Order: sequence, then structure tokens, then C-alpha cells
Amino acid sequence: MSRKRKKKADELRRVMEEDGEAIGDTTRLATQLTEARLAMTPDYEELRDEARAVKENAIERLPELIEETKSAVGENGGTVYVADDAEDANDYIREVAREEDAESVVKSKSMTTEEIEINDALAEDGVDAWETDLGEYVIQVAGDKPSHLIGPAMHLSAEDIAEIFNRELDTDEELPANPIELTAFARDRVGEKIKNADIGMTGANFVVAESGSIALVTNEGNARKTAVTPDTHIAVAGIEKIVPSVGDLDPFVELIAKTGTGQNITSYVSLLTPPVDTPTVDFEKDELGEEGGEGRDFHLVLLDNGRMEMRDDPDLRETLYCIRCGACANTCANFQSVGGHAFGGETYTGGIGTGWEAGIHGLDSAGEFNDLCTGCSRCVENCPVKIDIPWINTVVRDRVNREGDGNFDFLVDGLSPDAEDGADLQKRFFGNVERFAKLGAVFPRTSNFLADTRPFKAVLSRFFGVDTRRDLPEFSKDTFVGWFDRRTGDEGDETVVVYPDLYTNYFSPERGKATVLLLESLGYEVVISQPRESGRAPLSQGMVETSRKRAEKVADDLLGHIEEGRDIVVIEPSDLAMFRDDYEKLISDEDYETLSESTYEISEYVENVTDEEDFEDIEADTDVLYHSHCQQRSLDLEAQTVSLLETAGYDVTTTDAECCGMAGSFGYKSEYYEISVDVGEQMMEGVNVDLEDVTVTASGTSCADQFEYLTGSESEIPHPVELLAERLRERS
Amino acid sequence: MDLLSEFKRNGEAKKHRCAPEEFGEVLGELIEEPAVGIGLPFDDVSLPESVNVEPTAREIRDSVTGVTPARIGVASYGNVTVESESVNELVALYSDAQVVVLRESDVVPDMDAAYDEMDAEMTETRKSQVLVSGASATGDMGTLVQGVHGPESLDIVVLEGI
Repeated sequence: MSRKRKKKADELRRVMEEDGEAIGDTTRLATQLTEARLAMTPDYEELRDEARAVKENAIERLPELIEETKSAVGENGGTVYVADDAEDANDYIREVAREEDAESVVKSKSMTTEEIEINDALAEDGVDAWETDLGEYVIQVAGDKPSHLIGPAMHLSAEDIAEIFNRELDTDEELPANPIELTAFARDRVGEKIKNADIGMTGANFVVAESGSIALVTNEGNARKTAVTPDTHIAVAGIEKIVPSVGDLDPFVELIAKTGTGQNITSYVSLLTPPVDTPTVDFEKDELGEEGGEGRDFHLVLLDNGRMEMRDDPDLRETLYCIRCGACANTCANFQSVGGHAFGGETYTGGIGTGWEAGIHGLDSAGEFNDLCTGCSRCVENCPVKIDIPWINTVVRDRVNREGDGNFDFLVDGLSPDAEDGADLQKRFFGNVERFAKLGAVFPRTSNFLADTRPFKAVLSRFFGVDTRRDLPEFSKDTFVGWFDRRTGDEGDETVVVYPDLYTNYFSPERGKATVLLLESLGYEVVISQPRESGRAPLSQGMVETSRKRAEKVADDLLGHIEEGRDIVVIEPSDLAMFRDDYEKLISDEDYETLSESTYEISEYVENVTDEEDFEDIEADTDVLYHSHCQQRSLDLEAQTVSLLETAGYDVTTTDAECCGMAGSFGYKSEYYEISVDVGEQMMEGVNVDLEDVTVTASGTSCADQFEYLTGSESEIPHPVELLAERLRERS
Repeated sequence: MDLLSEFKRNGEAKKHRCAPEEFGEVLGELIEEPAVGIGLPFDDVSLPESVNVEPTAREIRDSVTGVTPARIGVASYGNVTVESESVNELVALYSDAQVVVLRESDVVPDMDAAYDEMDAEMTETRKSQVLVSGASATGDMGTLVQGVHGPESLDIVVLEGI
């Protein structure tokens, strides 16, 4: 393992040990609650469409809306300052603090103020800034960093927090690790700060251009207290937070808690139009000001800090639709294992964090954690504004590749000819897996023998970052295409095309053979398309141009078949996801539409044309544990396989984990091996059947590899279609 | 189902329905003194004398119950909006127990309707309004705890027929 990869692996291991348990418990619970909540929300899709449309419109009209906000806030008696960058924003806020002679500022939770690091800037002038959100307060007292967009102290347990308070603060007596007592203690401490503060600083979840209002979404109520207790209120918000009118807030108010925490709605959604009418208040002197809020000041700092450039960037623009609910972090298997201290950049965390960091702090910060997104697409369904988070991660990876030092090495250059993508050798190895597979398949026995030897593993580890604890998939003695070409197939009324994906072809031809057998038994005549890699491998490494070239060739070939009126059947779910989903970004719209409508996952394809009769007279007593594939689940195609297996007489239990942890090449990479195993073990913990009693089956190649590895299975984990074919064989 | 029944069924707040003439009695059972509030802007209904309607800053801070009128009730969520009229916002934040009084005629079917109504009003009046759905709460200390910076309970009294 190279020194760089070892350092990364060490750091990830440390964070996983320190934060993993608390983060995992909370994010998994939040995801469960969210999924239950969304299941009870019949108009979820409608709300998402509405929310998305509001954001698209608002970002499109942003320059105009900024002007409208300025004049509305001005009419209300407040001031708007548009800050170009963090320093500009901080200078303005420091100036306000100076004018107010402020000694202390209280803050409600705001990622945007974390982004500009206002607390440090105020400290330079001797102004104390105190966090009032209890999670942020803990982080501040501990001198730590937030580990999650909405749960900054999510990585800490009650025991950790008690220890921090007892260590860092003067407590009358030792605080116990009791959440109720800790909450009461922190509330009282923070309450005093609020009452004595000169300035209250809040963020804004939304800014309304028409009325100059700001919306604050909270459960604690600290944002409201922060906004109305001190006489001066400063709100800091990114320019992307502006929406045109109050009426536009509806879908967001309904969605943000559902996707973020699984609550139906937060305790409070304040819609303040500052300076507010609430009389000024001085508890010390027991004084209330005049009705109408005479003597209150309001400053709205709208922060650009790279956002206008993101708006002009077609790939990053969507990031600006993010309402920072944290759902993409909660749902992510890798985030669940490590949390935002590893899965995050300078300020922002989780899947969408990559987009924010790339736009605001640059590729160095984004590149630190971008590889932790495996593109499983699980987060997309829970994103309230339907952001294509995996795509943003892919694009950022591509840019990081191009900017980075590609570890050029002429020896292996010939093997991976895609230097134009700028990726390092590890990425080029996995991105060009087809080239290596073709070479290896020439002498499969030699290749398998070599792959298992220590020197070869050392080379793989050193140059390509392949973890020595993993075995590479074994080459089959014969390829699927070789087998297919030598046989005489059945004739049928309808011809169907099987796409011979790379993994089926070189490593697991049995599932290809089973697919052909199953289709023929149902009366189809089977042909195969050209054995070309779909572009999934390079895409997952952020090698977008290489992927595009592959996609164009594969699409060309498949479209020819479709023109002949043939459907395309796909075995590997990650390739199907390419045709159905990712190709939208890689080939022409027209070709994408045709292709996506004519490609089918094998179980999906045959489910409608099979019934019990096809499997009659077969003894049915085998229990099956089925693990679907992350992208297959995102495409809503798990149920079809389950139903098909049940039709064939199997008793099916499914895994409930989203991801097995392998995610294609991810689990082979030495720096991510341990996270991959951790995610896999989480999955196995959720399995409530005895593995001795069941046949394990998985749709994805790498999922099967992970199962084999985790269970120490000697035999290959079959694809469900192999079980079906076995049934058919039993009958004949 | 009628709007009022739907309102009552949904949401986390405890709901109490009464005719305007029963209001004093129902409210009396909900409040614990010292109680503060502001006069209700509804005809034929007023707060009992046990509620201090001209509180000082400290009386607000030290109050147990805070009573405020609601502007809108949302049937599909069982929650209410409270306008930041006068000391409303302070009363609603600094008391330990929040009681909100809502007229049946102010209940709208859903959030969409509520925000349309707020849109029409606020763009004109430039007031502030808070949508309140439950008690102040946090999960930051390891488990859900109610009663953080704001009240630890929310009761809504619905005045039927007006």
C-alpha cells in the first residue's frame, strides 16, 4: 500500500472507531423514521416536484430576486449586504458589532456562518460568539467540528457530552450522562448568554424576496429567542436561499423535517419579517420597549462565496437547490460508518457536501472525501429536491482526477490508455477493468494462479491500491460469449437480446448461461449483443470522457437491435442503471430515451410471462436469502426478483440493508477496505436467518463477492436466475 | 370528515374544543399561575383575570403558562400559526407551557392553503408569523427531550362556532 493510501486508511479507521457507533445508530434510526414517514405521505412526489420547480425558478431568477429582497428588506427598515466572499461578510458583521459596541453575540445554528468562520473573526475583535443550538454548543465547548449538517454533535453520546461539560465548564456538581439533565444544564447556560447578548445572529432556511421575510426551521426554539431577544438581529444566508414569495414555502416546510429527521414537521417554522414588531426586551432592568419594535435593527447578509459561479456551472448548479436536510448523509451506508468528520470537507458533510465544497472551497476540500460516494444512488430518493447527488460526485471526481497528479507511470500506461481523464493509477485500473479482464482471460488459469500469489498482490497493492486482503474475482475457464457462440440455440417466435456484461462474460458465465436457458424455456430465441463494457467502470472512477466513449459504442450496438424490434435483457444491475439512468448524461436524449425504454433487468423481463406452471412438479423447499443491488433498488426492481423466486417455489427472505459495502471497486481499494467490511458487517447483523439453512443469492457481481468474502463461502454466490434455471433443469 | 375533526385528530398538540361561553372554564383548567398573555382579538371571548395581560419583561420570563391567540389552524397537520403581535412572541417563547386559542373559522384544510393565506397577508402587512406544531424539543443530548429553549407543552383551545 502506498504511503498516501495508508495514511488515508489510518485516518478513516480512527474516525470510524471514534465516531462510528454514535453516528451509525442515529443515522440509521433517522433513515428508518424517514422511510416510515414518507410511506405515510401520499403526496411526497408531488411535493418534491413542487419544491424542485420553486428552486429551479428561483436560481434562474436569482439576480433579480436579490434586488427584490434588497428593496423589500429596505422598505421594512432593515439593511441587506451582499458579500462576495467570507472575508467580505465577516468584515461587514464586525463593522456592525463595532457600531453596536457589542461584547457578545449569540448564534442559532447556521452552516453558512460555519462556512465563513464568523466566530473566529469576531474573536479577533474581542467579541464573544456563543452557539445556542445545544448540539452546536457542545461542539463549541469541546472545540470540535460538526459531524453532520443538522446534527452537529451526532458523533457524541450522552457519556461523551457529560465528560466534555464536566471537563470544560464549571459545574456545581458532576453532571451525569443523562440527556434530560444535560439538556437542562445546557439550556440554562445558553439561556443566560441569550439574555445578555448584544446581537443575535441567525441563519435563514429561506429568504422571501417579495416580503423581505426569513424562514427559520427549528425544534428547540433557540433561533426565535436569538432573533427577538437582543435588539440587533443579523441573519446570514447564502444567496441560494431566496425564494420568490411566502406561498412558495409550502412544499419545503412540509418536506424538510420528513426527509431530515422523519418528523412530520418541526416544532417551529418562524416566518419573521425583521426588524420584528416585538417590543425590545431587557430582563435585567425589567423593561419592555414600545409596541411596534421601536429600536430594533436588522441586517441581512447574503453570501455569494462561489455560488454565482456554481449557478453558471451546469453540473454544480443543482447543488444550490439543496435545503440542507441531511437526508443524503443519513441514508448513505458509508456515512453511517464514518460520519462527517471523514465524509466531509472544510464545512459541508455527506453526499451533497461534495457539491458545496467543490463550489465554495474548491476541489482540494471536495477531493478529500469525494471517493466515499460509491454512486449507489440510494440518497436520491430521499432528497426533497431531487438532486442527482451521485452525478455531482462523479463530476467532481472527474475534475479532481484532472487536477491531481495522475501518478504517471509509463510501464502501465499502455494498459490504461485513458490518461486524458487524468485519473490516478488506482482509478485507471478499476476504470479499465475490461482491458485487464481481456488480457487475463487469454490464459485464465495462469491469471488466477498469478492473482493469488504474493508478488502479484504486492504489485496490485503498490501500483493500483488493491487491498491484499481481498481476492480479485476469478477468471472463468471459458467466457460466456465463447460458450454462447459454440452452441446451437433454440428457435423461437420472438428474438430477445442478452447484454453480455463484463462480469458475466469473464468471471461468472453461469449466470449468463442460466439467463439464456430461462429465456429459451419461455419460448424466446436468444441472441447476444457485443461484449463491451457499458462505461460503468470508468464512470464510477470519475472518468467521464472514457465512459462517454464506451457508452456511445454500446448504445450504437444496442440501438441496432432495438430497431429490429428486439428487447434488451440485462443481468448486471449496475449496467442496467447505466442504460436506464446514467446514459441520460452520456448519449443523445433521443438515443437515451429509446434505450432506456427497451432495456430490462432479467427478472423484471420474465416476471410477467412466467407463472407457477413453468415450475410445476418441482419440489419446493429451499429457503433463500436474497440481497438486491443498491441501484436495482433505486430503480424499484427488487420486488420482481422476489416475486419470480416465489413463483418458482422458493421461500424468500431479503436483506434490509441498502448496501453491501462493496460497491463495485470500492471494497477492493486498500484505503476503503475497512469501511467496506464495516458496512458489510452492518448488513449481516440485520440478517435474521441462519446462513446454514439458506441459499444466499445476489443480483450484483460485487455484492456476491462481498457475501463470499464476509461469509467465507468457498463456492460462488449465485445470481437468482441461476436458481431458476436450476429448477428448470430439475424438471427436465 | 369535517375540518375541525381532522384538525383535532392530527398533530402533536393537545386539543380542546369548547363553545365560546365555556371558554373561561376550559382555559381555567389548562393554566397554571403565574400566567401571562395578551388580550384575545375575538368577539365575545376574553381571558380570565388569572391571566396577566399587561406583563412586564420579568413577569413574562417567570411565567408558567403563556396564552396567545392563533391566526390560522391547519387541519392536515393539527398545528397553528401565531402572529408576532405585541409581546406574543415573547410570551410564546419564555413561558413553560404554551396555550393557543383558535377560532374554528380560522381552520384551513392544508398547508398549501395556510401559506397562500399568509402570502396574501404578509406581503401586505409585513408582519411575522410562527407556525407552531409542538413543544420545544432537541435530540442533541442523545435522546429526544422536550422543553428546551421554548415551552415543554402545547395546548390548543378551539372555539367552536365562531
